[in-house]
Amino acid sequence: MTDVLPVRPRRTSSEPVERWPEGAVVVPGTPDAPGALALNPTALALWELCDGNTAVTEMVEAVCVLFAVDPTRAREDVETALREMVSAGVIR
Amino acid sequence: MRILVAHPSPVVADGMAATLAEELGAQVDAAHTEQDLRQLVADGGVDVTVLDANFAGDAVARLCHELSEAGGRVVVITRPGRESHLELLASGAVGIVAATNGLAGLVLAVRTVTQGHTHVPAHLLGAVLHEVVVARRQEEQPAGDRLDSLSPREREVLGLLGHGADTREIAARLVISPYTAKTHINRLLGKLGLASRTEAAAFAVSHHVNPTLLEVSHD
Repeated sequence: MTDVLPVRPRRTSSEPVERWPEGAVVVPGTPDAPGALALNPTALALWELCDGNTAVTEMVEAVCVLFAVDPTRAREDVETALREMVSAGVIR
Repeated sequence: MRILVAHPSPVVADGMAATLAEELGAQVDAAHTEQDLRQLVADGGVDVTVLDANFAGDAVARLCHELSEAGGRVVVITRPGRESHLELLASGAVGIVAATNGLAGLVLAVRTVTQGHTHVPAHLLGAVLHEVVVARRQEEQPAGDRLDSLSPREREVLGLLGHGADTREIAARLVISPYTAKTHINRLLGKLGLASRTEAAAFAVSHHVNPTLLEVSHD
């Protein structure tokens, strides 16, 4: 994936169209973007953090604190998830 | 695997214990009082303690800390808006279950923490991560700026914490309900980026925050 990752990503819609115990489905807020994207719980939490004020580095730090994971691994996982969301048009 | 279930209601505790024993094939003991719990912990070999937030009242974070220090993993059952999840995690909990998640959610949480992972329910995860982000931003702010973010009532509560007052005493001094006092405490903890009342008390003392309305006494 080659999408450029915004420093402070923002959701393109305000709420998931469907939630279930282990995740949710979100859709882009722009009509010309691709279709719906299913998110697991961690990806959903990251999507919820995309308020346009929270930096990707802050998200990575929070994931490291909460799950006590290696920072390099956390950064890779967070950036991969966010790039997929950019590709799907659910954040920008 | 040995699991302890701490819940003030014997009926609920025994029900949870039976479910966990059946689903996880574990030895599960139930405690209905803090004395029972301490005795069961002292027997040793506890892998996981499931602690209902109502079991310890205001002292849930302290008990959480004690249990995790004793060596077991702690899963806390919480109610919406009642506890600071970040405070519980900072106190040593590795699993959070909302009471509304039911027994299936409890089994999932215990299974997750026994595999060495942290468990936060999907619907709480975004909010908890946001709490972490806010707390880290506030850690980087000068203390004076953080104090300025408190409302007059929150500053008063902080001063009372610094003088050793507990929730009940704060509620009585400010003529508010204990629930409201607890809400003020959780909000000021969030604004100051602190993880516990103990940290708040130390912050109040080190920054000379004193209650302005009333003298605190322990008589």
